[in-house]
Amino acid sequence: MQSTSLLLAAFFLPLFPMSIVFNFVFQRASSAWIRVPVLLVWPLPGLWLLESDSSQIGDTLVLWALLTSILYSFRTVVVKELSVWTGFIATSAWSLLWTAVYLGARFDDLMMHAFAFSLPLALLAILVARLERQYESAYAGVVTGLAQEQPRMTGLFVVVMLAVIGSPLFPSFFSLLSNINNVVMVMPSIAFAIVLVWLLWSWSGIRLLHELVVGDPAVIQYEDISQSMAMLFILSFFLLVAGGLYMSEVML
Amino acid sequence: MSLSIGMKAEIRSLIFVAGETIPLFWPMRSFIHHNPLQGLEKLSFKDAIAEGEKLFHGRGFLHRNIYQRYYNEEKISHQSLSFLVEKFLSQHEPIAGIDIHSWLMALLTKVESPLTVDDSRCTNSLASSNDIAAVIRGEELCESSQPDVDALTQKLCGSLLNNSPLYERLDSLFDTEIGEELDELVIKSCLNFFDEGQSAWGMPNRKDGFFSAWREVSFRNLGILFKGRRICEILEVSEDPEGIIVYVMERLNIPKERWMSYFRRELSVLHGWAGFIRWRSNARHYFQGVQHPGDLVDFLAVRLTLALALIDDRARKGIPSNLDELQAFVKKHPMQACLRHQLYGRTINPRWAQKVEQAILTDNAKKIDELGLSHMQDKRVRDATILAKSVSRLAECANAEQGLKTIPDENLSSLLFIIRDLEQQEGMIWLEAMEATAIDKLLNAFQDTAPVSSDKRPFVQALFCIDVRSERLRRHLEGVGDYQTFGIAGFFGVPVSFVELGKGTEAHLCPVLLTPKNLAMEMTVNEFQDSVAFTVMEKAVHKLKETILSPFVTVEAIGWIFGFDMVGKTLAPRKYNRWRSGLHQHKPHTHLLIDKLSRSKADSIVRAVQRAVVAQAIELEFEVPPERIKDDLVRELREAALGHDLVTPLLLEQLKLDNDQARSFIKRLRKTYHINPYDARMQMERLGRIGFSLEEQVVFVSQALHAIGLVKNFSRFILVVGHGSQSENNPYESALDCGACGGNVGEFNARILALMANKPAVRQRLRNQGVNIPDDSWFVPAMHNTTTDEVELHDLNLLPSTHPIYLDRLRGNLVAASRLCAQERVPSLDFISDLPTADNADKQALRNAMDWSQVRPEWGLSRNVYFIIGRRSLTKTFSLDGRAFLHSYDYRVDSKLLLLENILTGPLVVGQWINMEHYFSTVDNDHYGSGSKVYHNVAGRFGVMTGNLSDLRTGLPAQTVLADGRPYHEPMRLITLIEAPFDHVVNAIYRVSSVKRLMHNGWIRVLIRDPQTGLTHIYSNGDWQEYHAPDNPDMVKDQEALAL
Repeated sequence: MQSTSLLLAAFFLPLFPMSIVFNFVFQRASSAWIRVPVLLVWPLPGLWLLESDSSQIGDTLVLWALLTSILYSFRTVVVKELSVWTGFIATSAWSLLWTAVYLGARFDDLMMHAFAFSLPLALLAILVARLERQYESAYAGVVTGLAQEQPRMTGLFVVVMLAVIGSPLFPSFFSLLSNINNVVMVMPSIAFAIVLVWLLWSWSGIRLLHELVVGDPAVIQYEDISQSMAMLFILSFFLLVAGGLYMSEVML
Repeated sequence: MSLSIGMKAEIRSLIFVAGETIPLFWPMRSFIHHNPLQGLEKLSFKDAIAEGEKLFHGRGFLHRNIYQRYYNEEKISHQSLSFLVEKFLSQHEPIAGIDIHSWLMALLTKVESPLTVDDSRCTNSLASSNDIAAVIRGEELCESSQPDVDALTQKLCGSLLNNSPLYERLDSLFDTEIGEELDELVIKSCLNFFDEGQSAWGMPNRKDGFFSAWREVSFRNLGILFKGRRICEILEVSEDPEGIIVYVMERLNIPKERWMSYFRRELSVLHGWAGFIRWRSNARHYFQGVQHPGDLVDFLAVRLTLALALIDDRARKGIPSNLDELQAFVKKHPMQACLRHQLYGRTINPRWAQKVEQAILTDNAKKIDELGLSHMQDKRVRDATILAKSVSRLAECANAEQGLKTIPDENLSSLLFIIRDLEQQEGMIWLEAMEATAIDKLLNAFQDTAPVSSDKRPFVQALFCIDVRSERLRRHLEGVGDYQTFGIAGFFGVPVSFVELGKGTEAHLCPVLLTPKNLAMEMTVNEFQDSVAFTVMEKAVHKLKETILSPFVTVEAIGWIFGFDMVGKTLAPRKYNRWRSGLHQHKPHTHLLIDKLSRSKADSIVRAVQRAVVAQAIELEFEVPPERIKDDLVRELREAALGHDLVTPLLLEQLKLDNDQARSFIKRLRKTYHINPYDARMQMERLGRIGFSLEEQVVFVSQALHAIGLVKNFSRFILVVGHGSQSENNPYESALDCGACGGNVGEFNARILALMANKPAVRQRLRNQGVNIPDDSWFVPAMHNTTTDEVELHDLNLLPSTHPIYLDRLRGNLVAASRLCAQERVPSLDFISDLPTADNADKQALRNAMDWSQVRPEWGLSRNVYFIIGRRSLTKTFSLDGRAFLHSYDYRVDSKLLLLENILTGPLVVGQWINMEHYFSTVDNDHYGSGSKVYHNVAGRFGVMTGNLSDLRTGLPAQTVLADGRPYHEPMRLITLIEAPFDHVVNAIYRVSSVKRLMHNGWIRVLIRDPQTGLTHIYSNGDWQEYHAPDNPDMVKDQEALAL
């Protein structure tokens, strides 16, 4: 594989320090209309580039990808701004795709892995953008007490967050599980790194939920998400779960 | 560190004074309603609320929107509110061209949220009135000059460096989260030490006291060592709690003159635990307190030690570790401190949070200062815009939009000042308006006619507790037949310590203000076995659940039994509980031992006990069968042990002991078996407490009858009705029992009074006093179950043979009154099934009492508002909707004021505690109440916590005072009305200092209805005034609920 292609792939399936570019772009884009396509599309060129010749990915690159993933997942633990957190989780998750490529996953499967991470993140981005519209920022801890103020929104938030951090039945869970499954016997250190990343996501995700959902609500009361919008989200949750179950059939 | 005795005493007295503001917390087995701000009752109600906000962070009034709802429902009259606003305005200069009264009325009644008053989420406004005026006129805001850094530093130092604990200030500047961690460690330490049998393993060395036991464990407690690595060094400093306290305060550089306020703040953080420890250390009769002593000095030493260890731990990362370092930091970096304070205090605008966090992390002073300035400018514009918008909306509500745009700056400034002042005082304005409306409604409902006295002997006279729940039953009972009812504190004036059958401890059946001198015991002639098979099995299963390993096996082996229990309790609670109660042994008929023992009788009992103990000792130590232990030997040994006779030939002969062995055994008898003169004296003293002398019985009965004005025309039946509640799975059960009986059921007090009053000797003496109780009058004790409204008669086996013939009629009337009561009360409760009908209300109530998932078995004393001391004829003709404490009182039989003084000292003060407990639990259930029951867990068997770890929750749960998150209880101060001549009442009040203080400081509202002049007087603004209730033509008196 050409080094240029690799460099480009490291840009789209972000490896540190190229990941800074993605996070810079993502944080500058304040609208959900931009963030959602970015989250869905950004990793795809990287996958195409890697898919053309995966044999060139050596141990060093995989190690680099895992370190990037751990680094960003570790950073999510202290981040409270939800848009920044979304970007960091996306970076951490997409870096893990290098492992899947390294293990020789088919292109279709790689796409499934990518969407398994990106779709919940896209849903999260929509909710975060809504919060930013209302509070001018989605900084957990300063924005608190969402459960009392917007119970519907909170419910959606909790489920989306669970989907993002790889809770059972959601596609990200099966994606992580299949990666671990494929590698645990041959290279347990990689499996350990993935588990560590997974743990850090869960820790930071639940911490954010705690800061955002409980506590005193804001002085100014904002309207809760509409019922129709909530129904759309619930429908998408069902689709995600269906996708997850399909992945469990295909990959496990 | 070794402290002088003087220094130790000084520390103890500082903590004693600091702890006085902490409300006492009684174990929940006998829940005592109390005023959460009891320690602040020396202040006026308004000032105490402000102090309470500082100490406990609790609100003192409802939110405005709830008062507005009351206003719209006419529970607050327009007239009262308008009058109070007018009164408020009399303190301010009028503003030319503005009808300020309309503005303020519009503000209070039409605008939901306060405009100016900061709440916990807002910081002080940076916008000036010129800024607001500019925004209203649509002008650009002029550029602000640079902020005054010195002023900023000073302001910040003022708010940061007040009396709050150092770690709180560090948390708000460095996000160190020490406070949270510290609370967790302190709570765990308290749970370990104060546990009363919930834990399988107890903390070691608890008899040495809280601090000593905790100190020993802390040297090897990994949980603590992990979080505060330097704790061992701190603990090495001193073995005494006082020494540690001094060391920590000196290390933190807290000036000595501020120690007491610092201690007060520390104690108020976990005021539930502090209140429990404070109560416990003063409760001399409390067994656990004697066994495992601990006081506030220990508690504070533990807390301060842990706090210092955590601060030291964080200080390794470079944050200040004492007050001086913190002050230096703030002075050196005022802008950074300001931004940190807003960010970590969660008061910053969310838009700035990320930028400020990043700037702080970069630690670039110039960048931080620039960011701080931009942030302040943005805040100023934002504040001005928000306030201008609010003022415009207010102008719209007051129909003064046009005037607002042309208002001069100075007038706008005055207007904003008045609005700000009103919003600071509005809680009191709303409260007083609400109380005035409630007073008007009560006075309008009173009969103006003088009470009609009748010489006809009623079928039954009934003495009920003054509890608000008795009002309904009394009203219905009076409605169904020829009944005369009276209200008296539910302990019926007999303070008694009581030992129930099968229980080994004394319960004080009287208000907590009193300490009973006499002891009564429940006894049975039947053989009472505490444990039949089912009870034993139940206990065994509970034991299995509580140990460490057995639950794993238990679940597998007998888990299905619990499933059976669960299905039964959930699906058919009434039937299942009836069936299940059949499995338990029923309590046999019992007698109460209430007569004093003569000295010879007591002596004989002590001797009998000593002989039995000596016989047991011989049997145990020498394995002699009982039949071989002769009376002579026992007598000889007893005499020897008591030191009366030193020769023990039978002992040597029958037990084959030599002299040394005999001496050693006698020594053991004295020491181990307590056969010695001292213990004998103690036993005699204890036996001396049992029962009441004839004189005492006469005094108690006479006092009770005189207090309610029942001194002639006695009926055939005189019911003495105590009350209690019934609920399942409810740690707050005793909160629903009788407060006058110390949170216990009133059954035993009723039985004791009835026994005394039925005694011929007592009646003879009463006759000499002019109280002639006819021979055919019989006092019958009864129990009113406030959850089911049932009334059960007791001690019917003692009834004279002339009375049973009337029992059917009595029972029939009681059942009718109970059913009517249930029909009135039950619809206000939540039910799983449909709303109850007249036919099934009593069944629904019964189900409610047995349903283990029911979080609100009854409303208890919720909605209490009145305390009426006077004759029943005053309130008999209308319903008080279960909202009034009714104490019968006839001033004509109390020329010396003693009876009224007694009512004021005991029942009224208890009523005020109950009222204030409900008031504060309603206005701020999170801080003064105990939150939702759903999340409660029993802690140590004496309290509840929210979740798995929290402060002990004091106050009432949300389900007792709120319905669907909104107040069910209408929080008002107790409106006390006394029916008696004006001078008579005033003299009595001024002789009871506690009540005088409550009245002066506005903790109760006192009214006097003078039956001689027909005038009503109210104590207001430090003086007595005549009160004239406005006529209300819409008021329908008879039988209409006072839906206030």
